[in-house]
Amino acid sequence: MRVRNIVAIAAVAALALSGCGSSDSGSGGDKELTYWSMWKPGEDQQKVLQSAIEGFEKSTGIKVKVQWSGRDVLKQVAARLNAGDPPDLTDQDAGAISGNLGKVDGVTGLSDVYSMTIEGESKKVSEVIPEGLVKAYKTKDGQPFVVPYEVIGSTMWFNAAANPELATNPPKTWAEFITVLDGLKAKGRTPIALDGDIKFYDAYWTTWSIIRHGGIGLLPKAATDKTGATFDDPAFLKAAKDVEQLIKGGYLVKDFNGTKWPAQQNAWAGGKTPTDLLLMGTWAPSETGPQAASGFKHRSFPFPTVEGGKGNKAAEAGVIGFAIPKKAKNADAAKKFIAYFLNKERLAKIATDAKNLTPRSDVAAPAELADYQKEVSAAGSDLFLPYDDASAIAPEWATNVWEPANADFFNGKLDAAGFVKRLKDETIKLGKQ
Amino acid sequence: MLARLARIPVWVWVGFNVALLGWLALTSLKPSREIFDNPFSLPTGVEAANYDSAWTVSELGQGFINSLFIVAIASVAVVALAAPAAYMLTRSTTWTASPLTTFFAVGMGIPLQAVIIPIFVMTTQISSFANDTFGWWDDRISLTIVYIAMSLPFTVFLLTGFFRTLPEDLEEAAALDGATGLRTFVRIMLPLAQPGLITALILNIVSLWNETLLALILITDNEQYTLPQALLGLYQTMQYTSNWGGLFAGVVIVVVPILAIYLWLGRRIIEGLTVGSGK
Amino acid sequence: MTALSRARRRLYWPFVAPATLIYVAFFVGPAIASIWISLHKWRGAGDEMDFTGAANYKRLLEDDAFKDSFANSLKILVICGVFIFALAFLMTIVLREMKSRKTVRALLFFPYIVSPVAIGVGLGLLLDPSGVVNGVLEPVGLNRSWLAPDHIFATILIGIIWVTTGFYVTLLMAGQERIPAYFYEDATLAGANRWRQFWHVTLPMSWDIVTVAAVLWVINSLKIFEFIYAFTGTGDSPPSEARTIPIYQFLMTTGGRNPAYALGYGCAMGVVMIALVTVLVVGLRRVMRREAVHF
Repeated sequence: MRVRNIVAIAAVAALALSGCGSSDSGSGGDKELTYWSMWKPGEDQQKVLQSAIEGFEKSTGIKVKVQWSGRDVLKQVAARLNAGDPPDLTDQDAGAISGNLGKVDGVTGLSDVYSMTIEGESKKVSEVIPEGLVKAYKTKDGQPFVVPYEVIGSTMWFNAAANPELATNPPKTWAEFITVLDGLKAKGRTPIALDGDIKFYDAYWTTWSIIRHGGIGLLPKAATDKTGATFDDPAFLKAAKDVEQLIKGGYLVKDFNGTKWPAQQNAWAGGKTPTDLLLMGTWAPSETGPQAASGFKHRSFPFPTVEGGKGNKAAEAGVIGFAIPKKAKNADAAKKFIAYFLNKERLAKIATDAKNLTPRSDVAAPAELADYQKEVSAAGSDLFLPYDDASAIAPEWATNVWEPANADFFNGKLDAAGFVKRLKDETIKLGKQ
Repeated sequence: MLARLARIPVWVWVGFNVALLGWLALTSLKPSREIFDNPFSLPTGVEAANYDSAWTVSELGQGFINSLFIVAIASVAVVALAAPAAYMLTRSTTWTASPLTTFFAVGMGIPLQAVIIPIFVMTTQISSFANDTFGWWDDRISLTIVYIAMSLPFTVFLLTGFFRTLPEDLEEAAALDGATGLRTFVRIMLPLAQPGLITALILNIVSLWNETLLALILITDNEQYTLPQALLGLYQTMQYTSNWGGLFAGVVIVVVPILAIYLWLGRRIIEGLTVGSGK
Repeated sequence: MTALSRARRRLYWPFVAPATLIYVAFFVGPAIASIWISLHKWRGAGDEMDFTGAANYKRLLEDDAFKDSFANSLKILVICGVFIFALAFLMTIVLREMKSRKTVRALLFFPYIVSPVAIGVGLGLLLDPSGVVNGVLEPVGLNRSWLAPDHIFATILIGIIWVTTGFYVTLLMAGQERIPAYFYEDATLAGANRWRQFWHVTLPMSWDIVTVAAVLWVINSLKIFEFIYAFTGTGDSPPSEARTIPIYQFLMTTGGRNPAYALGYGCAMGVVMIALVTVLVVGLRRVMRREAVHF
């Protein structure tokens, strides 16, 4: 009993004494490094990173303590950051890093990593990572805080083995797209696969349509406009009308909102539902690969263009990359690892083994992503981030306004005009709070 | 006649519960593809690999050990702290005894959600302070302490009910024999209160074993995950890798220990609930 | 003063203080801190606390998402409460004369002690549109899309009723078992059927336990979190149809795809929950107050 008592008193004393933890930056000659990753054991990227870590340990003698945390890794890092004991290295979607850690000044500027020479090569990091990919992710003093190793974006997926006509002659405009859908529907198919319980996936359709009609930057502008006036831009209603056509036209797979992800995307890949198209991130081939029917060929085409649209050239390209939290004890070792992993041969495994696109232009895209790579390079600098970055800029808006409105729209509770009106009204309301 | 008819739905309900258990157990032995293709069929073979992957890949093994230690330490500590307090609160005539008893009971009405944010802030500060001073802290300690604190109101309430039913003459006799108060408590009252203490222990074990919300917020290190947390983690992994068989093996691993305790000591749990709420 | 009471006086604080200290430091203290934090805008340690007075409470009143969550919490409390108690009363009537009632009671009770996470995960798969439950219900035409937004909240209500009823059956049966058998014998002799026996013997004589059970339900129903969280999937935040106060609080603080870290706002929700529990418990006790029946 006395022991408990002492613990309690110690804890209370700790509370009284603790202020903000002092921050000490990494010193050279680190012998170990803690890495918390967004991947879970068994995922392709995890396997690639694991083998790189083993190589890194052997060649440098630095021990890497790795934790495969999964997608919520940044919440864990944020909690540890507050506790003064963050990991030395973490990774996630750059927008998520910005929202979870960047906003509270919890990341280290990585200019010195960009000027490091990549292990085993003569090139510097800055020479192989296009600057445009990280321009949105800078610390207060202007340093980039993310080093990307994977480029991700959403695009329209299909099985080239089952639908060869889509490979040779993909629909380019919205009208052509609807014609394709009608053709498939006439064959008794519900062409569009969608895991509707993930509101993010519903919103792919609306986001893309808004980008095509109104151009990049319109959605975040509307999200942060407290007067709601931005939603009066005709692009919103036009976009909503296009999506409404899909929802009401019977093109969506039956029960799309009654299953639990990943049931629908797996059924699409496995040929268990009469579906052909999946608007999904570039991780689709790696996620659905194990469930795919034999002979399945992942190919993609860009979201169709619209008449008079301001964003017809745009492509979605976000990045997944490394970041080093503030107060990391072994920041130098973490930097060394980043420069080690970006080596062409090692990074190439992200393309070959994990079937994803890397930021290095000298690493060939996997066959599945060749279409997407073309889409991105055709877009030039017209690249946008997931949700057009609105979720990182206004997280409460995304959770309380954008996602529920999209869910109701897809579940037939709102028509196109109602959807835009709801977005506008709720945005004004949120602005007042 | 009507009463007999009314029994049918009761048996359907009971049958559903039993069938569900059986279905869980069977499913955990199937290969992942079969689970979706033939949800009803008997497994074609025993897929022990499901258990292997649940135990090793997903930190369920580590989670099991963590939960075992955290729950064991917390529930023993709660009873150890609550028993003397409850004893004194029922026996003492000091003016603070009655308000203090009420003070503990009020805690039962405070939902965890009302305290969770300050607890989150407080434990990160403890952890921050410990990291700066000793260069080390383990969030499992924070979790255990908070578990103890949040279990105290119910345990004190339950045990005051118990001590109140115990006769006072034995204590008086012991005092006349010259036994000290501490000795009387340890030698006479504790053995008498044993059924109550065991009930309190079991009820705490059951509720802490399943506790998830606090663990989700306080524990950030995968190696320190509790069992329900590890199961949620496994759920995520499964969604990316489609290892459904492994997931069900995980569910069985979480359910079986508590089911065993229930089969073994179920009557105690039920009696304990009755005593706790009947007084 | 006797030796006994002297000893007790000396040992009072050593016996009572440790439990009280831990309870105050790690439970009551945080509850009070919650009230303080709720008057601020705050993102957590490292962020400057910005005193905003009652702004968070004003915001609660205007926030439709919170109002929906609040309504859902009340729906769980009322709808599940009515069903659970009605079913539990019926069961006690039916089970009273069943030989195997102990076994039945044990089997009804067990979902209550199984990890809600495990139940949520298992049910999610069972209720897939092409899953086991629809397979069984299809021949009788009761199959539906259980997890679709239109049905998901009803499905959650059914799930909660299923998990929780056994617990209250157990409590009410315990109350019934304490009633001496001769009351029922007398009632039978007087020609009272089972329903009248329940109404005139069981209910009045176990009223104190019924009250306790009702209070427990009020407290427990408002806290339900794990079941809904695991049930609606970890792939995305629970849909707005299925959000309750605890779920919404989680989303506005550290949960969801885009955690908002609005800790002051989250604390305000916690304080509202304390207020709600207090009002309901006090009200309920007043409504249910009655002269205890002595026997």
